[in-house]
Amino acid sequence: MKLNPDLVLRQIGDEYMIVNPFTDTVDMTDVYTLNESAAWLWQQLEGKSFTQSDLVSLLQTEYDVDTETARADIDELCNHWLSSGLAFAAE
Amino acid sequence: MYTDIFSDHRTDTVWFRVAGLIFGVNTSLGQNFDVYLPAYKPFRYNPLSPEKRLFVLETVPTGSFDNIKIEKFLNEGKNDVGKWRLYQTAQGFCLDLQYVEGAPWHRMVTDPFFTRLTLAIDWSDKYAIDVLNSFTMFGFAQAAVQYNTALIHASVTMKAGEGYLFLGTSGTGKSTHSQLWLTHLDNTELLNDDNPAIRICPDNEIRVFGTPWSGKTPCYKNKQAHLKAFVQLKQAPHNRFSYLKGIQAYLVLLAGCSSLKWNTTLYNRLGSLLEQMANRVPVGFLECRPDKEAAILCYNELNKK
Repeated sequence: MKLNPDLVLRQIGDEYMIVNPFTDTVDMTDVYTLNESAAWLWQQLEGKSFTQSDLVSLLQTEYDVDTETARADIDELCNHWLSSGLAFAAE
Repeated sequence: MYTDIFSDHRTDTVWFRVAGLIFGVNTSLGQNFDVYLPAYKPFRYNPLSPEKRLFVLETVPTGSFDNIKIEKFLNEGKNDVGKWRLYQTAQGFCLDLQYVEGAPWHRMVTDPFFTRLTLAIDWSDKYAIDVLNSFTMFGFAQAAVQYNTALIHASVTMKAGEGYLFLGTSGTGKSTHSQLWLTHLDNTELLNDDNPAIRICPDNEIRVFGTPWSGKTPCYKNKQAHLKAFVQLKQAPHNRFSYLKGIQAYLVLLAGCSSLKWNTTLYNRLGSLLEQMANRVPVGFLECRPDKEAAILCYNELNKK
């Protein structure tokens, strides 16, 4: 996978967000909020290619979480990122 | 990206400096540009040495771009400057504008960063001067983003060297709220009533600047103030002040600015600018009535220690 290179993670106070102006609906922008761990992962992944299992190990280097939980979380995260255009499946 | 002004020097180019940024206009009006557009007069600038400029806008005869190759239709809309349509071209963008229904269409072409604007204007249009003003403002709004500057749809008051910027959708009462400050708070002055510029200056200070674009209120001041706060206004049967945090604060600023999303570099530059501003400048939220108490409450809350 790869992050959508046109999008930028923003931090305002202790909140993280990504604004995607390119949605199917004209004149609409999509706003995605990220929690702290998702924002941390995003920062590590900028400009890189990665797989879901890369994300699982990355998450475990920073957060104290067992493999099963990490897998489930990453699975959910990737589905969300891919379905909302925040990331693309690698070609 | 910044081009030396003397590289486009022509005797007919008239220079202006808004929010510290220089732009030139080269039109059939020649040196009389600001006779027809007096709002620009306070911003007239006489460059003495080779300085950097934001853009030069040049007019060419109407019809000059009728056969330009359009790659893609991007968007269209209608606002207080009329009906507009935006297209992508091989060189950048093409913007068509019709001031009122039935009036002629005018077309401007530009590079993707709005450093060179060429406007095929139809001078037979009785609104030609307004059209020229709209295109100039549009060019400034886009080009300035690269220099940490944004035009924002707001009314601004100034008190003790500090600027208070009122935001809200059209009809919310931004101008009305500013007027209440002028009436009920001592030593308050209107800086701009529609489209001030906000900038993170080279000294890293955040300031708000008057511009030649002030909507229906003739308030064209070449002045600046330290930006004390943004305040989002909302009509209500009561007066209540609170602060917006995080994402909400950012989105209020984003809604007040118009950047073309089709130039990703410029769009993300605007995003970074507003991100920094939302982190450094308080963003208030005022539910208010159009009365004296609203103005006093707003001022006092923003000046609480």
